[in-house]
Amino acid sequence: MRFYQRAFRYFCRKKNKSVLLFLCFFITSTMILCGTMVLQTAQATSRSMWEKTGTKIILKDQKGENEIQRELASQFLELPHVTKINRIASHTAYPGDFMPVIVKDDESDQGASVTIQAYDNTEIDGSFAEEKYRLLDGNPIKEDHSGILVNSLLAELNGFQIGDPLTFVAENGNTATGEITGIFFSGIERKQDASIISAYRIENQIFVDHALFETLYGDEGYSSIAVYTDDPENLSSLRQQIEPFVAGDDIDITTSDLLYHQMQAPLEQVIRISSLMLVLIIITAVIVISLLLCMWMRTRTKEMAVFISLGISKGSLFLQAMTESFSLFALSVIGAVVISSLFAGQFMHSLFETYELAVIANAGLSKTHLLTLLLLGSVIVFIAVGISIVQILRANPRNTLSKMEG
Amino acid sequence: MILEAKNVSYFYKAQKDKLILENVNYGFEPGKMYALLGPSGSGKTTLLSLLAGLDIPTKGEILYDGNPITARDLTEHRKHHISLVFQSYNLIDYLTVVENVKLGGQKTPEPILDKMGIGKEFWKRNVLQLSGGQQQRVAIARALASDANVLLADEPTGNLDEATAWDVIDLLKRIAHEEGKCVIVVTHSKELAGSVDIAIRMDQLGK
Repeated sequence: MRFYQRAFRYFCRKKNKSVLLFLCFFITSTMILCGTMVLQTAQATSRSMWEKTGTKIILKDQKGENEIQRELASQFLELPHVTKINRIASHTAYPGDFMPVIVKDDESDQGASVTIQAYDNTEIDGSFAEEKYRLLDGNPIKEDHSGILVNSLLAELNGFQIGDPLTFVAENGNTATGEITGIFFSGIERKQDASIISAYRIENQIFVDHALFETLYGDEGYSSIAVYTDDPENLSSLRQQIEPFVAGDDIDITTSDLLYHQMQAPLEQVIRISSLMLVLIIITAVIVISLLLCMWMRTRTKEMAVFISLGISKGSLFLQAMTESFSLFALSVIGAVVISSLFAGQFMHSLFETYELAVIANAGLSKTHLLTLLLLGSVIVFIAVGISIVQILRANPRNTLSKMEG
Repeated sequence: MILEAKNVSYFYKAQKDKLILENVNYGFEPGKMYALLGPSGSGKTTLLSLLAGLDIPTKGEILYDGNPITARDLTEHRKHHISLVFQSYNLIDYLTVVENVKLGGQKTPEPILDKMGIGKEFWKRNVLQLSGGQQQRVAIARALASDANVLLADEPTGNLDEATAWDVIDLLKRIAHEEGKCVIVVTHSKELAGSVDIAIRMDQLGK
C-alpha cells in the first residue's frame, strides 16, 4: 500500500480529526488570502504610483531666459530612473496672419506681439497642469501630439477654429506655421489690468510644440526642464547626479514629490500593517497546527512503529503525514477561494472605503494571490508536519513497540 | 541456516554496565518452529528485535542467509526477509481487514485470510470490530502476505484465551512445516515451548 493510499484512507476514516484540521486550514487560508490581497494590491498600487504621481526635478533659469543648454536634455534622459523630460521655452513672436488682442495702445514693439511657449507636454507642467488654464476644445500638446493651443478670446477675435493654420514671425525674420489643435480659457482674462502689455496678456499666450519653436529660434536653449523619475524614493540621489551638469549656471533646482508622499503615506501604513498581520497569521497557524498534529501524532506512535516494523521507510511515513495534511490544506484553499470571491469585495470596501485607499477596496482575487497562498500554506504544512513527526521518526521503533507491548 | 546471531551482545546506552545479551551465538533453520523461553528481562524480546532489524547489536552481528543484515538497509531486511507478529496484534485501526493484510506485502490478501479462517463477511470490516483471536489471525495473515522466509512472533498468544492460543500455535506450526518458513516465537509459557520443534532457554544462549 503506497503512502498516498494510506493517507487517503486516514483522512477519510478519521473524520473528526480531518474536519477539525480542515477548519484550521480553512481559517488560515482565508486569512492569508485576504491579507495577501491587501498587501499585494497595496504594493502594486505603490509601485504604479511611483510613475503616476509625476515626481520630478525642475531646473529653471533664474532670469526666465532660455539659457539651459539643449544638449542637457538628452544627457538627463540617459540617467538611471529618468522616465521622461518636459522641456519648456518661451519667446515673444510677431503674428504673421492674425491679430493679437490689444487692450491699450502700446507704442512699443511688443504691442503687436504675442508670447509663444514651447512644451513637450502641456498636461503635466505649466499653467494647464496647475489648472490656471483649461482646454475648452481640442487636445493638449504631448510628445506624440504636436500643434498650437490658443486662447478662446484670441480665436474669437480672429475667427479661428481647430485645424486652422497660424503663422508666426521671429525677430530674426524666420517664419513658422502650425495648426491650431486646442482652444483654452483662463477665466480671468477680463480681470487683467489694462496696463499689461499685449505680449504678456493671457489672450496672447500661445502654446506650441518644440518643432515649431525651433523653426523660429533655431538652437536656442530652454527656460526650464522638468526631469521625471520612476524612483521617487531616490529623488535626492537623482538631484545629486543632475547638479554637476548645471554647476556654475544661474539655474534653480527644485524637487516636486509632495503628491507622491501624500498618497504613499496611507499605502505604506497599509503595507506595514498587512505584512505584520500576515506574519502573525503564519506564526499562529504554525503553532496551532503543530500543536494539534503533535497531540494527534502521540496517539499514532504505535502505528508508525508498526509501519517501520513492516519495512515501510521513514520517508514514506513522512510523505504519508504530509499528504494527509496537504490534502486537507488543498481542500481548504478551494473553500477559501470560494469564500474570498464571494465576500472579499464587501470586506475590502468596509475596510478601505476612504478615497486614498479606494484602489485596494476594489482589489480582486488573482493568480498571484493564489500562488502566494499555496506557497505560504505549503510552508506552514511542511513545518507543522515536520515538527509533529520528527520525534517519532527519530525514535527507535523497538523502544516504541516495547512500550506498547508493556 | 537462514538467520543467525553471531557473537551478539547488547546493552542499553544509558546502562552500559547492564548487559541484556552477552555473546549470543545461534542459527535458525527454515521449516522449523523455535520458541525463545525465559523470564521477564531475560532478553527474549531484545533478541527478537535484533533478529528483526528493529535495532542493531552493540557487538556482533545478525546474518541473514550468511550475509550481515546491516550490509544493506535495515528497512529492506524488515520488508523482504522477516515478518513480525505482536502480542497486542498492532493492526492499523483506520484500515479494513483486507487493507491491513495488504500492508504486509504484495500477496493477494483474500486466500491468506481464507486460510487463516477469517470469513468473507469480515474482510471489509474495521479490524476493531473483530475478536482478539480474529485480530491475531489477521496479524498473522499480514505477516504471511510478505515473501519473508522468517516469521518472528512476540508472545503471540499473550492476549488470547487458551483454546484460541492453541489454534494460533497450530497455525504457526503449519506455517513452519507446510510453507517451510522459519518461525521464532518468544514466550514465557513452558507448555507452548514444549509444543514447538526447538525450545531455546535464554540462559543457554550466552547470558
